[in-house]
Amino acid sequence: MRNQPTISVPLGRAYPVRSKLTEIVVTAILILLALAVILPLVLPFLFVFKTRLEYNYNPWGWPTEIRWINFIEAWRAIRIGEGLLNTFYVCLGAIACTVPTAAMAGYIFARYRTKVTEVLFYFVLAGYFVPVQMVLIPLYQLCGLLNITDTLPGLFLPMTAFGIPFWTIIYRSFFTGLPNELAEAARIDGAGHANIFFRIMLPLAKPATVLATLLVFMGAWSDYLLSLIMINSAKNYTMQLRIASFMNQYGVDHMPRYAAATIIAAAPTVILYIIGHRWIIQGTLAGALKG
Amino acid sequence: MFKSKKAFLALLLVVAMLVGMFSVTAASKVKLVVWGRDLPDDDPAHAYIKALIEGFQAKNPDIDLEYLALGDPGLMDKTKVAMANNRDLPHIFQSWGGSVMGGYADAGRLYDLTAELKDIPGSAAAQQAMTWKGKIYGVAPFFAIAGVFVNEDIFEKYNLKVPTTIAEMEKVADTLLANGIQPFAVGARDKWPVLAMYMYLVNRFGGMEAFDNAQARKARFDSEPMVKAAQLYQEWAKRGYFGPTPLGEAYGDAQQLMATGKAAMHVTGSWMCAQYGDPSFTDQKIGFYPFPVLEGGKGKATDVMGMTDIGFAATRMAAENKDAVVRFMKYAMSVEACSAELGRICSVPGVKAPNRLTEMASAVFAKAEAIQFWWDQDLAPSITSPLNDTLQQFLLPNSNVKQLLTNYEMIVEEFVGPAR
Repeated sequence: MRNQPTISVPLGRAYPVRSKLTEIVVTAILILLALAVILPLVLPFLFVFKTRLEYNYNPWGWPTEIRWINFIEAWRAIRIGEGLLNTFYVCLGAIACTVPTAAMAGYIFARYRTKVTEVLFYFVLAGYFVPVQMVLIPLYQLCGLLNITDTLPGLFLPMTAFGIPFWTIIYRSFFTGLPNELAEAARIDGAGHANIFFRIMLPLAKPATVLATLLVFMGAWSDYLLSLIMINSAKNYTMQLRIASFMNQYGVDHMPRYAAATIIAAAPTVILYIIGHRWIIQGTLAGALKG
Repeated sequence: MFKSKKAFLALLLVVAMLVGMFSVTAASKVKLVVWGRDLPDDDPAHAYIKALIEGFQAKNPDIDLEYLALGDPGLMDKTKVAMANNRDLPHIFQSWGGSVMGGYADAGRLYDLTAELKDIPGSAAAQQAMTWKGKIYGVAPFFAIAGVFVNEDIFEKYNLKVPTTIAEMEKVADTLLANGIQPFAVGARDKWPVLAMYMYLVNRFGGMEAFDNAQARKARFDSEPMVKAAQLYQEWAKRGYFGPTPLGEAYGDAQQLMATGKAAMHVTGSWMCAQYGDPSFTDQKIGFYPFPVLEGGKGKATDVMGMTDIGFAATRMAAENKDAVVRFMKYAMSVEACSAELGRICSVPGVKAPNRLTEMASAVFAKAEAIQFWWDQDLAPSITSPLNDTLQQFLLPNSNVKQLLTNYEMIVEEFVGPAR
């Protein structure tokens, strides 16, 4: 009871203490979350320069010496060069098929709003909520009917089908945010629909286009499940399939070699992110991910 | 405007080209497609697969062998989807036989090769594993048995004898614990590794019929031997036999504990002989021994748990390419290919064990009077995952193992039927 007077301490003085505590807790949580992202990128570098025996004794420590042999052995074992080419091909195909289609569809849904386009848009929207796992078997059968299983187009076309709904929504949201007066001014100057789209609207949607290109690339690069089901021959294996062949029922046979393969496989997307992060942030801030 | 349109048209052209570039396959040779798990690389654990693929290609120049290494769970997942679709099947896929293969056989996806394969020399257990309802669908050149890997250096250091009874095993474990050594490596985070020791404990309490009857629905999965084995397992976990954080260790961690001498025993499959006998993986001296018996229990030391270690089954696609498929199966069972293996127990007569550790495992297999197939390979696929989920919870100190087994029995009743 002798401490009762402390109740009269002005709130202004108590508040900063609580705020500092909150700040510490929030910072700690953010550090943990950051570690969850950073550690998987860092850990392979701890493993990759070690022998298997050294890895067994000291998996989390620094390597005793830098050995490049695991990179060479991993490259040979799963023919990484061929895998990189295949994966680039799939990524380019996915970008070329997804981004222009989504941009045009998003523009139509944003600018030409009728009952028909609204209904169509909700059909496209529904596609976004269909998980790949749910439709694997019918999708495989469809690709079989089209005779495109075990081909790289047979891989990026389904990726496109799954990617278009999301990017259409993004583009629609982006185009909706652009002032309609620009299109009307162009129309008064005699521009047709195509001119307005290509000369006025598409350049204004550059942040969304860059963002879509980068993220479609990263998504296609990281795909495992669709590739596993659609590809049936070793020559068409993408990077993720090649890396997965290091895994067995009992774990990983050769962790340092596996780490070497994951570092090589992750390099293009990490480099792309380092180069393109400015546009990714710009695209996000410019409203591409609004709504 | 023109520039943008031109770029757009160029993009469409690229799309058309990308879509149009379909692969062309050579048709001059007979093509044989095999789906497997392991890479045919220079890893000691992959020595057989490498020898099989390279040797078969060299000996059969008229066959264009396409071997696809899918890893795990890639092999399982891809096989499941391909079997469900019933199209683009390989001619041969790596299979562990048992109920999973049986399911594919029942669905008409496999090709009966009984006439062609029945006379290939090999162990009866391995052939039985690749047989379903009297028909042989493939071969199993390697067979794995569960046993106790023992770090002999540690045992020598503490003057311990390899236990032959459960009571001795407990004394050994207590001594090891007192000296700061983890008695058993398990890898319980991955669930399935818990099964090896539990299968043996159930057997030692109730004999072969404890599981056989439950599987045949003549007994329940919460019968006395099942419960007693689970209680003992939990008691050992409470004593710390599996380390302070058994659920935090995956199977890979268990291997590391053994490889670095931090754990002294590992009850698991003989497939680990290649790793534990490889000086580039471990500098410890490790041996392989049968699981101890329980005084007063029904199980015998010669009751052994086993499963196919490497097997191949033929799909219905083999019908169009039967000769090549049979040639592959026979080469897979040849002394030449099997001799390359560095750690597994070979089911082909005339193949020498490649090292001391495999020799020890082969000796346990040779003395086996009864072999029970690994439960999660032999039970219906719908009830194997719940089994492994149940077993993992034995390691929780406060779980009611009897109730867990009763819950599992209810799942079995739902999917398979009640015990009669």
